[in-house]
Amino acid sequence: MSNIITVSGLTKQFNKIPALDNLDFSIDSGRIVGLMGPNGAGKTTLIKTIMQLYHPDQGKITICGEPNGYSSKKLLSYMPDSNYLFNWMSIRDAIQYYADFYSDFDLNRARELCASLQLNEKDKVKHLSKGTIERVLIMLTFARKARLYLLDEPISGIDPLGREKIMKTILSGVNEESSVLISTHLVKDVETMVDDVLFINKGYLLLSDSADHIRETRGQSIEECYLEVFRNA
Amino acid sequence: MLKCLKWDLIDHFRRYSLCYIGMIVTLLLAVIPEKGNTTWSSLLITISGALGFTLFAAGLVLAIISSYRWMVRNSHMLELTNPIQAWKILLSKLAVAGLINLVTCVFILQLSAFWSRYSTGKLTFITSSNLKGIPSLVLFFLLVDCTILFSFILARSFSIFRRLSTFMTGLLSSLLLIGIITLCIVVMSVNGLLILPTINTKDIITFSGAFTMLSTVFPVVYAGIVILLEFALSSILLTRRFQGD
Repeated sequence: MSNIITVSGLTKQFNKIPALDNLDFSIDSGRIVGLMGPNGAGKTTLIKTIMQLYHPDQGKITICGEPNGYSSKKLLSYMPDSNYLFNWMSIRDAIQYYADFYSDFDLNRARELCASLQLNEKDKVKHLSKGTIERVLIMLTFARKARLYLLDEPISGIDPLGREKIMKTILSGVNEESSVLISTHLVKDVETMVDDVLFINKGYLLLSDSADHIRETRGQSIEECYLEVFRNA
Repeated sequence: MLKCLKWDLIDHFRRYSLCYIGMIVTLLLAVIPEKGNTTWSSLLITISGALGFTLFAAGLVLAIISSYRWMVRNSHMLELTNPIQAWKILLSKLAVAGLINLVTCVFILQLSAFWSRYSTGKLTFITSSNLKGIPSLVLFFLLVDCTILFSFILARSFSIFRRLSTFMTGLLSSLLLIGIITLCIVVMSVNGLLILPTINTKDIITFSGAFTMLSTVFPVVYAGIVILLEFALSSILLTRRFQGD
């Protein structure tokens, strides 16, 4: 088991209001980590900071032992919380775009995922529903052989059937050498799939623990623990 | 870099292909009129003139849009999360902007050559000697594009400007362009490279002034240096401070 990401002393402010407050955590390979917290907790800010869309005010991020730089992006596969594809694109264009920019993009895997997620490659992105766009983004994200998959709210606003397909794709995508950081406030839906949890509120890390340890020591489900921690926060 | 260029060009033509179709139609409209002052010919020339100047302006605006507006769209996240260095992303954007400027300038030049058919009856195509002035014109427009791009990145890189980034981009780019052009004129005047033309209208209109070799070399080199400087600073800011939303 190797270390995939280490975050130390990470701080980010917007207009002097802390969005991330001295965050410290690390993720080892082979783990699915749930980044959980209410709206405005700092989940998206954290993921965007790892992706270098935001720049930290303080602190350090290392990816597979290297400082987070442009070359780290080769190791990260990012799924944003909204559609970031060009509107004129068809799904086939999007696949070609990813294949051009990422050497680890697997075209065969993309086609398999299109079939399993019931996506038609000819469809235009601008004509797709929110749920279908989420499936397209999941397909693109997991057609790569990345070390860390960063998923920002991948199942919010999706019907239960679509949610199940997305969760199956996530589970099938992770292996011994990679990890998944999945941000969500739908704790119950991801409870069975996460190995570790990070509870975050107002940019501050409230709890970082393994799901099994929480269940054993507290005798609670992740959702019960979440409710207890955030009620007292 | 070439991959960026490929997708930037595809993105541009998928969005604005109508403008280029319009340019082709305008050129065709200018070819049709025969020599002579018939109503039909006059009408076609007038339409192609109106369309030509509108599309010329639109082309220059499109070059500005393609250089910086991509950072306003949601797709900026897709582009900025690609494993490509910031300077390569920006270089590709500026290359596209330069290409649009070039096409726009060649379009208006060819259009004006076609208009001569209306009076001479001959169909004239531009030659390489007609194109001599184009590179410096494209460079000037690129300087404008690069200054606006730099101003936008600067405005989105510091929290005090970020909230009013559109206004700040307008303000910063206007001030920068005025400063850059003024400095160029002052340096050239002081060094005797530029003597502004004087016009004598007493008998016959005559112009006098200096147009030495250096008077064209200096602005070109100066514009090139300013573009490089703005490009380098934009790349650094995009890597270290820029925030798209």
